[in-house]
Amino acid sequence: MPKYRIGIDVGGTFTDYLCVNDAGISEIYKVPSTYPDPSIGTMKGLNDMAINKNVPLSQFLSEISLIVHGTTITTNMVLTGSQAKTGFITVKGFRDYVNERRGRKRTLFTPKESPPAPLVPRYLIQCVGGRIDCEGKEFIPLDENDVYEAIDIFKKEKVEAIAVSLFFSFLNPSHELRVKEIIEKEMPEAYVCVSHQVLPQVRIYERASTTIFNAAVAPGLRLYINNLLAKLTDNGFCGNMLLMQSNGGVMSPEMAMNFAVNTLLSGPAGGPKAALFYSEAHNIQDIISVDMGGTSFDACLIRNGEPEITIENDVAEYRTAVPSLAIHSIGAGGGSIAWVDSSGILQVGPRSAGANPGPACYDAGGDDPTVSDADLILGYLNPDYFLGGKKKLYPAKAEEAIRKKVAQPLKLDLHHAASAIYKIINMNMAQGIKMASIRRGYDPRACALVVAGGAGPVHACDIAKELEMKLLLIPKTSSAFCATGMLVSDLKHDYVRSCYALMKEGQFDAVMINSLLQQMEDEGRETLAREGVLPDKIEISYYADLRYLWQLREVEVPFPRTDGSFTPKDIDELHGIFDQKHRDLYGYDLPDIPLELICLRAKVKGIIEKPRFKDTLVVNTPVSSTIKGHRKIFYNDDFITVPIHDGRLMGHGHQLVGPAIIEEPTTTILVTTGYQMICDKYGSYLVFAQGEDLNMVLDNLTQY
Amino acid sequence: MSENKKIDPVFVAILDSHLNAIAEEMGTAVMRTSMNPVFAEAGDFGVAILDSKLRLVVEKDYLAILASAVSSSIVNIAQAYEEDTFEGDIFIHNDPYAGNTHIGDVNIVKPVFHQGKIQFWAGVKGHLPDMGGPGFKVSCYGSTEYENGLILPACKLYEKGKLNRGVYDIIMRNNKLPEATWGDIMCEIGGVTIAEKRLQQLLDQYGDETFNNAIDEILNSSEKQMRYLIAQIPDGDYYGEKSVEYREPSLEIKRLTARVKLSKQGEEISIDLSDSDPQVNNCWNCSWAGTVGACQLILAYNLPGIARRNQGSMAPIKVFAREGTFTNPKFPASTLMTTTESPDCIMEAVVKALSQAIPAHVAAPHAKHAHYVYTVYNNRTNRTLRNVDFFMVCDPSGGTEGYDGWDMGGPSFQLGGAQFPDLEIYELLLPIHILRHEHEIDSAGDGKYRSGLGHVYKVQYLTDIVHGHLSGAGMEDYSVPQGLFGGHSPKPSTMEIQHSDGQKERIKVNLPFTFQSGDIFEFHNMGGAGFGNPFERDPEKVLADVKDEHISVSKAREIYGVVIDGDKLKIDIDATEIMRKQSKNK
Repeated sequence: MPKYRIGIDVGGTFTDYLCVNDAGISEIYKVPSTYPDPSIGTMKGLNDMAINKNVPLSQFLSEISLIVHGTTITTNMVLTGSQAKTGFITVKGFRDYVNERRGRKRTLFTPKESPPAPLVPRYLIQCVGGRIDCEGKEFIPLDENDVYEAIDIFKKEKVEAIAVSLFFSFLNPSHELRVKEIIEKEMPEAYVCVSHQVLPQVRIYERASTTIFNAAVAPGLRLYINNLLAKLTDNGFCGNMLLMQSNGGVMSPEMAMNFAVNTLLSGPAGGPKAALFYSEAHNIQDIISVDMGGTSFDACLIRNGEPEITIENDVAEYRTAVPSLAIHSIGAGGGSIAWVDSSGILQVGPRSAGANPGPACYDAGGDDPTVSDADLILGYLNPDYFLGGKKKLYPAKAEEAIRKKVAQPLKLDLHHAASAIYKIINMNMAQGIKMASIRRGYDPRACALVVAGGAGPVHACDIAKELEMKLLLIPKTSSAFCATGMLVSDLKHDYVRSCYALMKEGQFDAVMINSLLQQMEDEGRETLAREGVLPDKIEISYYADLRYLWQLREVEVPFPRTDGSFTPKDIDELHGIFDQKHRDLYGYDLPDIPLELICLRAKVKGIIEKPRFKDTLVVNTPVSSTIKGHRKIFYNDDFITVPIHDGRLMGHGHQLVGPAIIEEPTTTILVTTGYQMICDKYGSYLVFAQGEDLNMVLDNLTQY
Repeated sequence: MSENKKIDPVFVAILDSHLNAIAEEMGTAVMRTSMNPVFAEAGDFGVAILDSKLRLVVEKDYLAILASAVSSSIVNIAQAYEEDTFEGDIFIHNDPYAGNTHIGDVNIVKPVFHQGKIQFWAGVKGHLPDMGGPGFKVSCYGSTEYENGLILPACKLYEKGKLNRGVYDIIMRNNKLPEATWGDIMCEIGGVTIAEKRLQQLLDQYGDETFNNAIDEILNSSEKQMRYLIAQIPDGDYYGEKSVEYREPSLEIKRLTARVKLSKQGEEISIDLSDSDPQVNNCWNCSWAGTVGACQLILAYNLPGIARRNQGSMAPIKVFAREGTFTNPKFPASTLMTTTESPDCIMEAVVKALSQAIPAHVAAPHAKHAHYVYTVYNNRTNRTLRNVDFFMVCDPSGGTEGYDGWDMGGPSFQLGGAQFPDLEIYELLLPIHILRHEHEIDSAGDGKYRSGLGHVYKVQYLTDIVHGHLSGAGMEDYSVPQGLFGGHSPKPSTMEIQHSDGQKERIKVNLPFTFQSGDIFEFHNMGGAGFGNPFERDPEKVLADVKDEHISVSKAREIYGVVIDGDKLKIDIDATEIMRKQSKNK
């Protein structure tokens, strides 16, 4: 009998597992990731579980009904340059637009900078004659000889994948389809993808870059998925496997292999879903989910239970425009290096000491002061209980680094210098949250702050204070945070159709709009049916990319269909929604100017059954029994002595007031003066201002 | 406030990051909502915030030369309305003789009040679709400002939150594209309104005094930073000059020369342009804001390190020019080229002077640029559009010790801050087919570190008549950017028109130009300048360039002394060694 569901998050360093049985009891596993073939590590973790359960692997695998799998394999390929050797076919006369990346430099005021190395070097970019105009009409026929010549070069260069992007193919795909046909016939061994199928929308640079990305990572992802599926089925797995995608939904392996570019954020995309899951216990729908690790701080806004989506996403400096969770990432983490710039102003990050050599306190050769060094000097971290005691920290090394590189240049004493690092990194993170919220037109004060990642909870109270955020939620076990999110995600597919229309009564073709919406709906239903979703489990929502007449950039807003189809009487509502959003984003609106429709979008969701997690029992021990000692810390320019709680002994119902520190094996939580903490039924720590009532705090979140 | 009050170094860093984020958000609002491809696709604008003492606190460069002149415009406005500024006022201003660049660049400026007092000034400057002036059918480039369009001295577009009907009507009545122009003024207003909102939130949070103390500290620190960078340059007097072509009203092509005396003493630099050519009877004069901006920007680009750009860091840099030179013209001389050819010419003269002082840091100059400003009616969309063709302005930069130049990023006055339009968006907007836009083989300025590649741009106009003006430089031997330390200069740019009857015509810049339906315009834009002797370039890099078809096999041999088998794409090591040795012995 199938009884397990498993979320697997293959990260760059570790693979995390969450295994939930049908009684709702969950377990966490962790193994090192194995590159270049992560399926070895993935299988090892499953084997560990079987051993732990004292059953043969084959029996354990046969008892798994669902595996949801997130993986950084595609991102990793690009970061390490191990993607497929990729050729690119585009229009004759336009060989360089992708690699020129529209020209903007990162740093204006220096000539000493090189552009990032291209995914496809120029000699593998081949151009073919033939043109489609902006209305979809052919004005130069496709020159097939050029296609054959390009294929000859690709064969000679042993190209493994080919991307094709031609002008206005989303209006008229005939040239792209013919090129694809020829390649499939002449070079069947190569993976080929064409831009109108990967991303049928205007802006050739974004479309082409996304298509190239897709081609470059697809062969590697295919190999990996096929490999893993074979290993699983050979060993008795007969359940379902789904893959996490960048948009926060899951998809079947077949879809993933065709749209590999959708897996670029496959790992981190689990985070916001997990944040939602832990918040649901308190009916919280508006969340900012943050994850602070060693090198980066990721923030994602969730509104009404839906994570924000962006179509402007750079991975390793390459642009992709497929809808992805809008995870705003800044260079701020435990390893971020503090330095005094040539003007004498203290900076923290974005450079990171990473895991190797790591912070100075690792005593592994790093002599730059980092955030973790500051946290240690301030007394927030326990040198003997970092990663549950698995890694020893050396305060003397941290002190030396901070003294030499921060305290002395700024003429501060050691603790004020460490405190300065702490405050600045907190401010940088608060700034990162603003980017993810205020800059998108939303007020963070209406949101709960869900904090994951080992380094985050030491900093969370100050960040929340800076942003006037009233409630923090810190899951007890953040190490399997993303894996948890994967298990509670639905199938989700995004569709887009370019559709130009002036939204003025009598000036647009409602029939065409509705037929495009229907097309996307049909395609979505078909795909979900193939993935085994029943019709009553399908939810579809529609959006439109709109702008004021003559503007050049669009804003996505929900697209109303009052009576099941769009009619002219929906225009006023649409205009109202758009004006409001424009005002929030850009400081003004133009209600008298008509709207132009550029793209229609459909988000099609297949609701899958979620595991029921069992509530943890109320712990009856007094909170004082969880205190394992006291420590002097430096906070807010003062030394104070705080109790240290053993997180392993804390559970549902425990409460305390700050200042206090809770040490979990994978993280440390600093509850600062003025804050209190309550531990909820999932074992999450809820932190909010002292003297306030939790229910009031929850109610007030909806006031904004 | 006590003199020796210790400033909290933490708050200084925090405020610094806030101010940068606000400036960036202002820019985003403008870029995302403009109706004008020049803003939205190319980023032809700049933003800045000044404090109550009218000191530049932060600026954000999109088009660098524009950003650098937002603050001088704000200073002018604030001084003109010293006693007469209220909460809710929004100023408009474009006077090149009062702090602005040229007439087309329009400043929208908002004083930011907090508790009844002005604490900041936020400004956006952008190139609007139209600012009046002669009709589209004649050259828009007059020899005095009177012919160029409507000059707006500082005036209030909104007073206490209410639209100033008179000013609005004057602007709109004189405008050939009133709707698009108003749309862009609104997006500039959006930018300053966002700045106002964010700054007021910060003032509420931190209080005026803390805030101002921290700004003092940021400016002092930035000045220190700049002084430190300048101190790296050996003391001395350095000289550089550069000529570009321009046309007299008679259409005769002439040389215009900028002459720079750069003198560095201790921690200060002064640049004197007084020996430059006198002002000209056409639009190649550079308004004072443009001249100062040009000098500051090219210094910032070439100094051995990066400094913040604000009042503090600009303090140790002094710029002089005798009034009556083209670098400091007398009213009403026309200054339309203030954001293009004129500053570019000044910048290359500064580079030449600097190259004697800091050879390891300086970069060989950028390509000279040319562009077509035109007005066109699009039958398909039923819309008249005025456009600056930014596909022509995809200029590469020059090489520098350790690095090749960029293939794109724009000429010196953009420094890589502008972005280039999307090919499909252009074809949707304009009645054109873009037929080619890509690198041209052998177009780079060669060197141990070569420049970026030049481009070929080929476009066909599909509508009856396109009226416009081709302007630029770099089509004469003397105007191409000069290589440094043995690096080569690129070949001059060329232009050709192929009429629908098949007739071909070579043309040069700085003429009004009308295209007929079916005409094809072909532009071969130059590379930037090379740095160092090409015979010293790493042969593997030469091979990579040959493989990528950036350099031909014959050029590799003749200019770089690298012998390559074109079929096998292999270096003939022995032959290369012999060639390179021979050249050394010569």
